[in-house]
Amino acid sequence: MSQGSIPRRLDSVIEIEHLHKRYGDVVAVDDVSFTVAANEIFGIIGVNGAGKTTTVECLTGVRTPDRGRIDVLGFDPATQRDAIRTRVGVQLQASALPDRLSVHEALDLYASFYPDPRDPDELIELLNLSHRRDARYGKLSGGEKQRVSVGLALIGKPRIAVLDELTTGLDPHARRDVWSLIERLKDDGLTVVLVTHFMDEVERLCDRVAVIHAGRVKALDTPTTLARPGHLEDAFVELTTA
Amino acid sequence: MNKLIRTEAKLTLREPIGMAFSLLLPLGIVLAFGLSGSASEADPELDGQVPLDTVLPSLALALSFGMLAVFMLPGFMADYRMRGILRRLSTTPVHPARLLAAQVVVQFVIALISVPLVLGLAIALGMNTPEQPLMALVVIVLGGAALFAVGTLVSAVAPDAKVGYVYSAAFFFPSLFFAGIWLPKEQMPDWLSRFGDFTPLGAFRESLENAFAGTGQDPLMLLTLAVTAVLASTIAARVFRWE
Repeated sequence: MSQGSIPRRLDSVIEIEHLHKRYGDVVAVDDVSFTVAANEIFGIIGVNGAGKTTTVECLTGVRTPDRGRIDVLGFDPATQRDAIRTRVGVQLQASALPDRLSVHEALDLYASFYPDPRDPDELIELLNLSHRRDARYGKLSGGEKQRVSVGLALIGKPRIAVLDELTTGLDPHARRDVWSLIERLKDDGLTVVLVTHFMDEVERLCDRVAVIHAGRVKALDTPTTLARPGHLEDAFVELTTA
Repeated sequence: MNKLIRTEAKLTLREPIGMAFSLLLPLGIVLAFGLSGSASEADPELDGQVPLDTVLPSLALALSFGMLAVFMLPGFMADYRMRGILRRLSTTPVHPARLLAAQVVVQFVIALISVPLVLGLAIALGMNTPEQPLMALVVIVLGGAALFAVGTLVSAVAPDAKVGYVYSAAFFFPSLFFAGIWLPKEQMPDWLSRFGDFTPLGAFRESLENAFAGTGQDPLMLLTLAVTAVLASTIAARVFRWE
């Protein structure tokens, strides 16, 4: 899957070819290639240390690849960072707001960073956080914090949202809330790159999924092609053993 | 940028203890020592200076600027780095350096607020109004720049809040000594006193005292402040860890 050149798709918004990145002697990403189509929800799964986060960091311009070509919406993330940052919204694993900032203040502040942002109050409504509008971030539950962090990724009206461990630490209700939020955003035309450990999340949300193992793409297909419904985890373990 | 500054100001006000301490401790010092009658008399141990006119207010201002620049600023920045806020910002069109700039503005403004407070209280207690107010202003800007550059350097190199606190303390407490806070400079051996003139906090306090007393400036001390400001901020800009 990772070998050979990728046929250029007309509607692709992300193209990665032969991405390679090492930290000192450690090869984080060996050779990763894939394309993501417009309006697709594209999943990335893999064991810890497989190279998922590094891949995502390279495509958002946070890290510069050692080799390979990345094209995001016609821009090179390594050299055209500003163009990428206004068009790609990123949600990171860790909570990243001061405890004493309120939900509305946080979204309002991040809105000021972008040329054409969403209205913070509309987004708060969409995130189902209206009743927590003026609550301090530090007082929110895990699910509420997660929704705020998804909100920060969407406030700049991005074409692409990169979501890393979207529902880690959430209870089943909160997970379903976040999932239906993502589905609604897809209906509005958003493209999503979703890094996750949850197979049910992949089966529910993703149009296609890439299994990354030891810095390479081990498999890339629709979840239903990779495994019968409910059996993706078995297929994943098989693909990523030895 | 304005919204970032306003947000940082709000966050600082919501965590008022550090700020209140930085403003009230200097006032407390002026009050505690200024109330005693001897503070308004020429002190032979200070080469005949009147403490309330010179040593006390300059010392109080050195304290508030020092605490805000060297403890508060790196404290906030270390917290922001640890929580991943700097990393989070680097995925937006706004570089995390803007957040640092907003923090410097906010803490500097709080430090400036301490100037009328300290001088107002000292004057109420009988301080002679500063002889060279304009020169005092120049010294405050220059000294503030030097101390906030040091605070930025601590923010740049400290891996976390705890280590940052150690760096800050390692700079601040010896600086207090050289600034003559434990032992009046007039009672130090000449070489020690002179050395202290070339530490940022010492040069700041001494130049401030000179402006209050109208005794003329030592250009070497002003140069010390300028060099510290430029050097520390240049190094900080090179080594700052934004993640």
